[in-house]
Amino acid sequence: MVNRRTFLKGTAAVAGLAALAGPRRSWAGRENELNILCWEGYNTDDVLGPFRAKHPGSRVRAESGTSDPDMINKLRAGEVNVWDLINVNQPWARNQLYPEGLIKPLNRARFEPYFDLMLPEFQGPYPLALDESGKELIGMVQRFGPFSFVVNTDKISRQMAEDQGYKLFLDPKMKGRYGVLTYDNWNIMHMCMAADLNPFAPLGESDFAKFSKVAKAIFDGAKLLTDDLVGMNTALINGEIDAYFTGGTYTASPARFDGQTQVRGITPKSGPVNGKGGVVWVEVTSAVNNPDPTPLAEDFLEFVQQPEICKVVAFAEGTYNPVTQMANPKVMALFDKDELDAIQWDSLPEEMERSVDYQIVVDYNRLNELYNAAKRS
Amino acid sequence: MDRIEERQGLLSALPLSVLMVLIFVAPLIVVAVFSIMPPRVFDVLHMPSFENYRIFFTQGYYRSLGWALGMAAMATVTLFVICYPLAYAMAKIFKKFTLIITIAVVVTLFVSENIRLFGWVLTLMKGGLISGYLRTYAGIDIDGWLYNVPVIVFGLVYVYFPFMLFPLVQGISMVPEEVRQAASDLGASRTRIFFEIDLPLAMPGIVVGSLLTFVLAAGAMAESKLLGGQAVIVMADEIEAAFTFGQNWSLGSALAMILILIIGSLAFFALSRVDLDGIMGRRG
Amino acid sequence: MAPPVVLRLENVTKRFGLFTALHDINLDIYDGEFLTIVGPSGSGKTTMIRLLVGMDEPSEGLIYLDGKVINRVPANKRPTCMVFQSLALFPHRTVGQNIEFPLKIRGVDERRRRARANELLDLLHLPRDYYGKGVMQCSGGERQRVALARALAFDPEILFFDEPLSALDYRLRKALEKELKQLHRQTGKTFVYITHSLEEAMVMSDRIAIMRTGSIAQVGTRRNLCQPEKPLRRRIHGRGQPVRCRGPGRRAVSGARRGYVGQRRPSRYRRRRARHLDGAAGIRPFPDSRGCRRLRSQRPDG
Repeated sequence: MVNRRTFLKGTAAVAGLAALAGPRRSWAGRENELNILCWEGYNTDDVLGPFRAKHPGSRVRAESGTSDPDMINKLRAGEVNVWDLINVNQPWARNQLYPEGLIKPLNRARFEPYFDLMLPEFQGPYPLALDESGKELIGMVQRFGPFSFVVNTDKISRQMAEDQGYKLFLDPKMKGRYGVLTYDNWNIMHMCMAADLNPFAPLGESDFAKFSKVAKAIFDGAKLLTDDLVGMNTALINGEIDAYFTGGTYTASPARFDGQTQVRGITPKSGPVNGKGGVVWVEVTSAVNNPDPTPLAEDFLEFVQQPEICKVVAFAEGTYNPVTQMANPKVMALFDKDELDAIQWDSLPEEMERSVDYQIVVDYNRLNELYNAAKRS
Repeated sequence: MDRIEERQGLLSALPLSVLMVLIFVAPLIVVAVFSIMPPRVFDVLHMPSFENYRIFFTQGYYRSLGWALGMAAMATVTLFVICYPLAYAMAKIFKKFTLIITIAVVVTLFVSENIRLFGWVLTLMKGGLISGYLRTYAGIDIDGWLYNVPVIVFGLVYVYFPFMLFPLVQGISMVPEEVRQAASDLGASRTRIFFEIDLPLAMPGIVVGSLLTFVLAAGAMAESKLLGGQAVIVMADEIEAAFTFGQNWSLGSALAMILILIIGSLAFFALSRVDLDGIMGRRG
Repeated sequence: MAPPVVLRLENVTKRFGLFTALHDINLDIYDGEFLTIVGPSGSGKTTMIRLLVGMDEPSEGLIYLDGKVINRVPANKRPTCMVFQSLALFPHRTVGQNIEFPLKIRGVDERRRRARANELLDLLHLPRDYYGKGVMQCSGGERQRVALARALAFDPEILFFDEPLSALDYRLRKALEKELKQLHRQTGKTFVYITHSLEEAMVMSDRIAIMRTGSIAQVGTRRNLCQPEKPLRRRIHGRGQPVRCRGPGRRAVSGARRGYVGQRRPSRYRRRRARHLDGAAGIRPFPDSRGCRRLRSQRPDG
């Protein structure tokens, strides 16, 4: 039998091991270490290689998440002492990570000048890169893109799609001719707008009923659901579907860069949010509130503002996206015509004009329940 | 004397047991505890509540569970029907060819499941490999085969094929040829031999194979996502959505617990009924 | 007068690819007799019994059962039954279920099955409460009896035995030999027994057929088997234990064509050679490799 003494001995051994493993981390010092949790792109060698060359002997690691909440879960599960930078879409940083103390403010004096070099929308600095009080700078912005829905312009004209907006998907003639890209947190916003609701304002019971009806109708008419943008584009190109809900330059650009320019992200001309119907995402890269911080975190944020690196981030891997630094002629000079066409540069200003920022959906929890119930049925 | 040896046995098993508990049981306990936390909390220091389990019933999550278990069952039965003859041949008839089949099947496991499934997407989709060839050479225009329930079951059958095949081969090779001959000699027909001799004697292999495929298929989601276009939402999908987009860890934990309990008790029940030593080759 | 022939082999040949396992066998088996086929391993006796019970078909020749050709009748349609060397009991079944198996196949109702099983348990000196015992819990000797009981439950016209006693220890084997002989008398059935032990054959059989490299070398009763094949017997034995022959051998053999039912007599050369080997001090392992090669080269291939 196991007696008390052997048990204690065992416990002591485990405790000893833990003691050995524990402090070593802090002794080691983290001046030369950087761990980045990001959307795909920042984790490529094209980005990290030059940075490593600049900081010889440093250990730079980046891991890409599959969704904002997926990455945020990691911090919530206690990985704040692992990561140094986190790269998520704008509302998460301001409304969840910062209030929960998972990220910390940046040196505003050091970074504010960079905002002056960005596209006009982001100058000033960009409001969602600041905390609620507007005093602290909580992250840097780089990649962004309008995100509403995508059509095959050989089948549905851009003009018609922009005029109809999300109602396109409620048209009985579209039944079985579109897919739903299951970026669930996005779809909830867009389904609200399809139901003429403003997702960023509090909703009432009758609104929930409207939402439910629209959500069911959209899922009901969908030919396929997938969270895989390549699969979705493939279905769009081979004619299995003619449009998908939701998407934008982020999802359309890989197909467009392959020459399939009939795949196009569409921003509706009008909508229920102050007359706008498009949504734009902006990545905010913030410093994780790591108890054992590294100076490399802010260095990296500064590093990616260089024109060459901006271009690499924009066309890194998988998807291609505009970057805020494209106001800088030095950055623009690095893009060729095909690349600009892939990210729909021609219509970007007007699309931005028709879009509102991705924000926290006030009644997200309730809407999420309704959304999942509709998806299931 | 016995007591000392007994004690030594226990003691030497202790470190590994502790490790096993840490690796396998601790995460389960965390999930179990989270499942009885109120919705949308990110730590376990709250008053327990069974709200999440109520949500399972009131918000129709049982439907996803039903689909997951139903398709897993369909895939398991289909796999059994497909694999049995092949396994029989591999165990009793093919000689060197068995090795070739084994290698061929194992090699497919070297390629990631998602890539293999995407291969099927390209094969089955509209304008894909099959329908493209049909259109070009036969002039037949057909839609793809994707995005429905049968294709999800097909995906499960395809992906979990080795997990049924190899235990079956093992199980069938445990049926002594002479026993089958004796049954035949005593007047039993082929059908009779199959039901009275083959099935019961190969049962450990059948149970292990079915259990593996069923458990894996019930927790699978790549098939329903890639091939099925989420024509139906499976339980694993719901769990993922609850943890990520829902940011509702406790609901996700409760859903996971329900799946674990159902599958766990099934596995326990099935394994308690077969002689596992047999298939491990410890029986004479 | 000789009893009627129940099973007849007529010019039976069995080939596996280029290898001829059985060569032109002619043999009659009489109703109710205890015939033992003796031969060393590789002599074709196992192939022969597989043909006889229907697990294989002969390449050439005919097998008659009660005057009807049964070449292509499969094992499960033949009124014969075999006790396997491995016994081939159903390990997942009880003693009772094993014994009742052939009755269940025939659709005999449960009450009568149970009654028959009990009779057989009695006949084979197995306690009746073994009925519900798992067959893998039985000892080696008990399993032999269960296998026998199961075969008898089938009520076969001919009961074949494929060396069922070979795995047992000496004493148990001796006891079971005796019992088997007694069982033969009690049931009056035709027993065909295969063994590599001439000694076993001598103890139990009415008649003995000696096989050698795919042919039947000779057939006879215990008495008339002795001369002139003494060297052969010795070679079969291999261990140099001579079997005492009681009869006036030579006369019997030369007198009885039955010794060579349809067989070639060994050539003069072979007889001389055998005698020579016999004289050369004793132990000669079987099979004689040179003899084998010679025989094979004489056969028509294909």
